[in-house]
Amino acid sequence: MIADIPFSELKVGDTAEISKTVSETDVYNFAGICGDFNPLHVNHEYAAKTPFKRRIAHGMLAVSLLSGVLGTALPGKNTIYLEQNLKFHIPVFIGDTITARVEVLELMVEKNIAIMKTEAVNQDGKIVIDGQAKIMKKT
Amino acid sequence: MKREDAKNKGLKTGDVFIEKHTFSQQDFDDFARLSGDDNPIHVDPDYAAKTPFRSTVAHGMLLYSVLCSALLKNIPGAIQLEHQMMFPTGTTAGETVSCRFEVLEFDNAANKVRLKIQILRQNGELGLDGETLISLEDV
Repeated sequence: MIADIPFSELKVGDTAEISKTVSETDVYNFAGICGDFNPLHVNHEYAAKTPFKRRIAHGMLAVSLLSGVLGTALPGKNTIYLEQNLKFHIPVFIGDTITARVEVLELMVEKNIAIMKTEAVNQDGKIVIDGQAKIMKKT
Repeated sequence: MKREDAKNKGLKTGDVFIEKHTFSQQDFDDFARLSGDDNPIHVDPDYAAKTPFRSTVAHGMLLYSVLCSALLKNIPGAIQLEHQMMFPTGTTAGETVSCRFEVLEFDNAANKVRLKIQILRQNGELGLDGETLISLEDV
């Protein structure tokens, strides 16, 4: 179910989120789509010898959940993604449950543009990624 | 990795790398399943034909994911720290784009490199424009 919230109904402070457990399948599908077969993501024996001790998910996989919230929940259909700033804080491991949350920070009413806080946290409540997005919603 | 190694990797300010990539509708569909973002602008060609884009367009984060992968081909082991990006125009299914990287500056003390990142579309327009900060520390 895709939301379609009109720009005029957006309010500063509105939030939406999705939670998802990152699976091994997600990581391998993601590697296939973007071509990133870094052994840290797809080779357990290699990853075990790094300080991470096990395979980690691609950072962008978690970011993809954030864009998923923007495009399907807040504001949803017809959202145009203009800008995204990101900081990566800690790795995401296979099996982690990531909650991707967005919040309306600022509305530029004359341009139909919103600044959104974008943040992904793991099952321990630790921030894995944070940043801001600028989006446009024409109607 | 020692601080001189950024230069030992053969990188220097002004270096440019280009990787080509062709996007298919299947990529958009796969990415929609992975991210949960099945906004029709990405996955419904009939719907998208009636929008100003006239065709389905790539998820912004799909563009960035492909760009990350192309970056790793040129700088193996790079760890992403920060990104800023904008999406000036929509990249459509079937397009062959050029992922372009330019080394902007080094922080040798911290073993970090800042790069300009761009996706140039077939028509010469920018599909993605931004900067990234990566670490060259070994994991």
